[in-house]
Amino acid sequence: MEAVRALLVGVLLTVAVVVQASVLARLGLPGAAPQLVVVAVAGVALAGGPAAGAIAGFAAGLLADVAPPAVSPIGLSALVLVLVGWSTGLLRGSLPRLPARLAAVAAVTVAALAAASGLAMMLGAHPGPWPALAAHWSVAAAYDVALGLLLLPPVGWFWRRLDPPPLRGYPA
Amino acid sequence: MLLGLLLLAAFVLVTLDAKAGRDSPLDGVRGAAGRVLGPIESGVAAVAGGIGHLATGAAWSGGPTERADRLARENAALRAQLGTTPTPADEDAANRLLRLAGTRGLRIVPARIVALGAGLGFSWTATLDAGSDDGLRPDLTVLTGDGLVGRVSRVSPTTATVLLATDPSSHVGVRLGRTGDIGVVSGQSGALLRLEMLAADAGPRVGDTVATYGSAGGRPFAARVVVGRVTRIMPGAVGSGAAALVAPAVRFSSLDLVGVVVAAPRVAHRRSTTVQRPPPVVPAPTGGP
Repeated sequence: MEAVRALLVGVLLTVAVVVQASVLARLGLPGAAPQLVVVAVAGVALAGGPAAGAIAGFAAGLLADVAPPAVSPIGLSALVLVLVGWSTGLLRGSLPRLPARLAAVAAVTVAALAAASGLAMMLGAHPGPWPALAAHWSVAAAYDVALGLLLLPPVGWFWRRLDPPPLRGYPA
Repeated sequence: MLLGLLLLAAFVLVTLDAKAGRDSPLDGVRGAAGRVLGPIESGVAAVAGGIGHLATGAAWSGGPTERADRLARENAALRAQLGTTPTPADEDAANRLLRLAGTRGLRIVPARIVALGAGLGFSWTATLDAGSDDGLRPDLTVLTGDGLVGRVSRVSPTTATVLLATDPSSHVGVRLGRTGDIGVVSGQSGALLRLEMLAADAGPRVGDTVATYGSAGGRPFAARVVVGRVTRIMPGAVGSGAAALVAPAVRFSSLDLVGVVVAAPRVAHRRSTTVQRPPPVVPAPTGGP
């Protein structure tokens, strides 16, 4: 069951990266592109805890940095998404209800985009004026709340369905 | 513990890749991912495009005539999706592209943009559904009938990555259409591009057209491709030429069909010319003793 769950999470993250690049980025939605990859990692973290979230973040980040047409240094998204997965997973226990989890997704989106901009600036990129960036991040956070509404419940449900069965012969 | 290990691994990867640039040892990973994920991205883009055509073709309606109209539209949309009848927008873009190539003598490979960057970092790149199997190589100009889109930065067998002109690391040598002065246009991660003139006294004016200067052999940039139009003059930095903002001629938010210039226009061999010295003027003999 662990293997099946890991495989399904891998498929989810791959689909998220491909759909992000081929569909969501090309839609031309006003203000920003929805960050499906961030929502997927947050969903796995809120279902599975900090360790699962960190590994999912690492894998998703590497995929996003390596899939065409990325040119940013490989590992940049991985670095940011590991922290996203870990911190969201830590909040799993204290956020039992969906609205609070969606607020966490919005906060985490802004934090991830800000961290990525900061890292990119340290490596020499010039993201542009701060007010435009802040507006960009807020709109992306709003889109991610909508995506989270669609994605978080199914991910949580599948995660629990695929829980490994308790060991037989031992007290529960 | 796990967190520390993962962070360390990611940090090492970033350092390796960032320092090495194009010869990075991790470049092979990008190539392999391009081979696998590129066709998947093309497929997903095609499916999404088909669904989009169907969605815009369908309409909420009732009544028999409205239903007949709706069915006729859905039929047209389905045919468009199958590629047998292009949509008007597609045809318009294709016509403009072919007209530009024809009048300039450029040899182009047409391609579609199937994906835009998915990573969190700031890079403005796009994936094409044509690759080295179609004759593409790195450092070729990508354009539409409206103007410059960018240049090819890497290729895999079936896909290629385009560095768009709006990327902060894209620098294009340009000429002002009005005066012929030379400058550099760089991307700013946003809608407008930044123009910096080389000469301190070159004065760009609002409305001036900016076109590519052209590189040797047309790689990476073919000559005289329109980049955009000056929209605002900015107070220049000390010690350099005037700076201005340029609105790109291409709408980057709706890129679809593009052309990649694979061969520079053929130039006839130039012959040297001279001007014959005029024969010396012999004064007319004056009459007289």
